[in-house]
Amino acid sequence: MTSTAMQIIASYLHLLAVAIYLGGTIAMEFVLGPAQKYIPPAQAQVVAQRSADRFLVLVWGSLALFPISGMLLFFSLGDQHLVAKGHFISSSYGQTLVTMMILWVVLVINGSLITFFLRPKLTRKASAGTTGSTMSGKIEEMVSAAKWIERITRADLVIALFIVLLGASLSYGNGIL
Amino acid sequence: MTVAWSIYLGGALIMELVWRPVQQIVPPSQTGVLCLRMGKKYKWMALAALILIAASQIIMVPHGEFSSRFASVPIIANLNHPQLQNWQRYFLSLGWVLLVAVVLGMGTLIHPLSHTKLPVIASESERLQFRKKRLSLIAMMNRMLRFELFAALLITLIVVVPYA
Repeated sequence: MTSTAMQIIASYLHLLAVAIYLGGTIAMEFVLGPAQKYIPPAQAQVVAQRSADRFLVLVWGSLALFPISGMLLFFSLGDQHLVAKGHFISSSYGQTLVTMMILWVVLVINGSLITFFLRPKLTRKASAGTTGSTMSGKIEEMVSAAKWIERITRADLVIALFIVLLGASLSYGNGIL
Repeated sequence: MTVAWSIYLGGALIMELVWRPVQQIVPPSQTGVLCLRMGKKYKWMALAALILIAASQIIMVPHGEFSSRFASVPIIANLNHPQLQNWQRYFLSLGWVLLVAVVLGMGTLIHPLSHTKLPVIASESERLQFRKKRLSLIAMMNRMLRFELFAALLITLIVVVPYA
């Protein structure tokens, strides 16, 4: 495969991943989420659960695509010399790239927290014979998990915006850090 | 520009890949309520993103200088990119106009029409006609949403095709 073809594929996948992560989060947070307040709570819960299930698949797909397409783009552009021989830390390009990688790791950690720790708390069903006090405790736990998901999602949004800014600075020059 | 385009494309993708399948499991009356609320917000979000794209393009015009090393990076479609050919400039500009027209057409015409209410004293034939009209409007909107997504994906591809 030629370097140009590789660049096209890598750029396309990179843009799609950014669109799904950033645009998707904004659409889920500010379009689909608020609309659920206007339907009965039981239905809203079903919509929230199903849409979050589907969205999380897309989120993990785009999180996996970021480093793959990013690396493909990096090598197809022949930018290895920019970070060779210690330039990775000393150059503005390298520092910007390292910051993007660290922020990507933060997004993965946050995504794992939501997927494997917080969301199961929301979807857990009460077993038969649950007492009133246990039930209210569970409800409290669910409300707290939902609040944390919202906080983490908003933080992820800010981080993703910053990553795009860093990425754009690499496209237009040598990075901004 | 990348942020604005990501918001626009991401929104269109979420409508198709998340909302459309979820719609199938929600009762029609609730779907109607959700569609109405989401449609209004989506219209403003999409329009804001498209306007932001045009605004950032205008800001970029006097700063057309690219570092030579990155002149070949096809990641951001800037119309004054030195390696962009004229047909690509026309295609991208036309694509933008088309997307604005589609969003405006859906948001100001078809979407509000599909949510009009039937008069209380309507006859049976009027009810049938109303239902038929609503279904055809919903079908048209679905087609337009799919076309919008296809156009957005195609534009993204044009952005990244080789500039040689």
